[in-house]
Amino acid sequence: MIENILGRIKKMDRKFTQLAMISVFLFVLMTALRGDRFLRPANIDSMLFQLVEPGLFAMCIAIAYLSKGIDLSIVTIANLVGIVNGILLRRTVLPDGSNATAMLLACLAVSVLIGLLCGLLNGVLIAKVGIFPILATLGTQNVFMGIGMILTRGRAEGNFPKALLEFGNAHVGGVPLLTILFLVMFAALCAVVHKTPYGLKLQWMGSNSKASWYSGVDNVKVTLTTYMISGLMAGLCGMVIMARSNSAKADYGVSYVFQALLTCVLGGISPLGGRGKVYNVLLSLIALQILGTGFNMLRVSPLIRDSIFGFLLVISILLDYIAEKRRAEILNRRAVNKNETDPAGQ
Amino acid sequence: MSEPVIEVAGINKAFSGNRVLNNIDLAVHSGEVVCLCGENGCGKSSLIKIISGVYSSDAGSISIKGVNYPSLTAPQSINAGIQVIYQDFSVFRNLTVAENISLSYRVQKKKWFINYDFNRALARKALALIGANLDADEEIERLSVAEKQLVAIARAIVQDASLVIMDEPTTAITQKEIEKLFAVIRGLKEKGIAVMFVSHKLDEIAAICDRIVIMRNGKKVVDSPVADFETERIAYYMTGQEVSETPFEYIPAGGRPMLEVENAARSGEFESVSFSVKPGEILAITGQLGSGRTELAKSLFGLAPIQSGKIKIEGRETRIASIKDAFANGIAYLPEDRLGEGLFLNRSLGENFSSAIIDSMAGPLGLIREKRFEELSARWMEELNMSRKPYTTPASDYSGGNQQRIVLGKWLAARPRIFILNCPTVGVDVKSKSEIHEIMKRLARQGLSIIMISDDIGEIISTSNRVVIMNAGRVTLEAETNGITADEISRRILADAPRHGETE
Repeated sequence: MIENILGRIKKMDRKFTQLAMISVFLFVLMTALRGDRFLRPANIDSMLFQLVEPGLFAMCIAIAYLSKGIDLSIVTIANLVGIVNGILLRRTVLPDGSNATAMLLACLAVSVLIGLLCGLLNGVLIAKVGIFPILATLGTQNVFMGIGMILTRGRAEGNFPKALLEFGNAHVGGVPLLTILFLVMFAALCAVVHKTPYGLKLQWMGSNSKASWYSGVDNVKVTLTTYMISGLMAGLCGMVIMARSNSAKADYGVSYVFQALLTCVLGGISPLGGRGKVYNVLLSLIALQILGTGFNMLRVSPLIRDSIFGFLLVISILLDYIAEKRRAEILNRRAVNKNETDPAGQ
Repeated sequence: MSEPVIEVAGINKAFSGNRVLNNIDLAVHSGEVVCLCGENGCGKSSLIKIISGVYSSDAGSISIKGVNYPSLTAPQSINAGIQVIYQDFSVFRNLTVAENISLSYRVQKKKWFINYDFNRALARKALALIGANLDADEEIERLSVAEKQLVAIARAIVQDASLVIMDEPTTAITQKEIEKLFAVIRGLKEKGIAVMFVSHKLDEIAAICDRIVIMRNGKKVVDSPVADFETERIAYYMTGQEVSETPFEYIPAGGRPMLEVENAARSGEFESVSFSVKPGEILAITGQLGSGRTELAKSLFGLAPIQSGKIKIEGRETRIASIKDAFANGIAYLPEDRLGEGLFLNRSLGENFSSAIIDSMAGPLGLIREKRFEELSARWMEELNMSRKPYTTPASDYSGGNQQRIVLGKWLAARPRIFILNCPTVGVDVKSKSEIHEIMKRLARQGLSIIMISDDIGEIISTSNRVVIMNAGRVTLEAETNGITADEISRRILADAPRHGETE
């Protein structure tokens, strides 16, 4: 029966099985090497917390990738959200903190608004003006960071209301609340991408934008929607960063972009567009989290760690390209063989 | 006979699972002028690209002047003396004649520095060799089409070409210029250079070629000296009418036309085009490349709207300025390049069939119901005589003919009233071709108005009830299909019409 289930999973999605096996392998490896520290509840808890920020950013990159684009501006959108909210809170929250909850809700609205607007700007530059996504979002990345710098003069905003920090550290049934909210959002994105007309249009556009256009798909609208969703998730991540780190800074966490790219590529979301399953991103996220924690515990130098992650990215992109090429070759060979054995086809 | 300049054997090539070349053997000897003919999508361009090293073949051998090249690359092919003059000539518009002619020579000889005097001398020598009277310092932009062609030929000569391949060199130039081109080709022949000449025009083939090679559906079907070949049979060999089809019989039902086009024009593409289509009709529109037929079809689908004139649908004047407008008016368009413009190769059958109506596939929560994919796929696989596969099968698992059917099904699922098909059977095997024709006829009998763009005269005669022939952007003939012969259509298509350059 187990074999039956395994067989079905394998048939369903090879990437899924691979990633699940890698995650389990890494988990077992860490348990064997440093089980005493690795399995400690505090460690598990901190790993669950640490999933949230890279996870949200990976979701942004995933949909950008599916559209055959990329969004490099996500981390600076999050930082901008943090800064604007920080200023807002500093100026409006009363010393006794009595209006903090109301203001935090206002901040949430501000986050959503800024995220959507930044995403809209990206989308317009890409879909209407026609700038390559990588250039457009590299540009806006610096614009958003620049605005953040001007607003803060390069300093950090901080000392947020206690209510926010309590929210950030809250647990429900022993699991961090933020992690739960992240998982809910992740599930929602999976559904949006794989189960709604918009999601399919997004993937069609990514795999063949000309054919999607001829099929009546409004590519401009799909692109705008995509970058706005990406901006929205990045904006919400700005709130998460505020709650978790109690500060907001214009150049915080720039390496998150790289991490998000790596997570998506490992998760089988192809930068070539239109190919991959979003749910696999969660598995690669977990695998990378275990790996990162593992490097920490084994006292691997951060310098070596970064280069290992770099190698991982290059190798997985390479494998992606090779697999793509092989697929085409196999198809062609099959066509040649089929015609030879099938005289009716002539 | 002398040793062949090039000899290929057993060449096979497939793209995305579609076989475009099937065991091609071909040898060209020095001083020979070989004509290569075949319909669109028969594989001749792929063959040329394999000979010139642009594509690599999946199987087969290539030897040039007795040397075997297991994996021929473009530089190797050029160094071995193969030169291709593409339809657009691939000249650098911003450079001078001399620079264009000497550029590839310099690349080939791995020269590091540019010597302008040497360039000029080289260019003059090459131009003199082919008897062309051109200023070496003129910028390419200022030259006429025929002059650009001469530059491309001169460029080929300076690279010690032993085989010059010309892809439809006569489509864009006037009769007088063709004469000149032929003189140049005869000159090349005398120098022992072989020429491979892609053309469909019978008089040209008879005038200049020694040998004729005809390809159909990726296979070589004729390879014969022109002297022994009845050129009248070229159309038969090109289209291959082994499958006899029952001609389409239109039963006039009266009523108003579904679509009326009045004096439609788009500058530089077509002008004063008028015709109409009634429900149940299959109207064929044909003409040479550049005659405006494809542009016209695209305008009707809102891709490049008409600039003047009227389009009426069921008698009501309608503006079709975007694909959205076309959708709203029940117009569907099957693109010629089905892989590039019609199909999502790596997506499932269900998604492909539903791609034009995807918004209607969602349930109350906005989530797509897989069940609908399944039903839709089952229905259209049945209707289009496709072998049953699960709806999750990717489109790439199907052959060319079936992929064409998937694209057909995707549009039919949208329930169009007017269906424009652009070359619906190009590159499709004979059996699928006649099945697609049957589907079209059945749809017409159900009341659909069909406009079929086609180059295939056999197809026009057997599937349409009316034909419109376009030439240089104008309609030159509209006739009932059963009152016109294949020869007449072919003659009208190729007739010299006033060219844009001359009328303007």
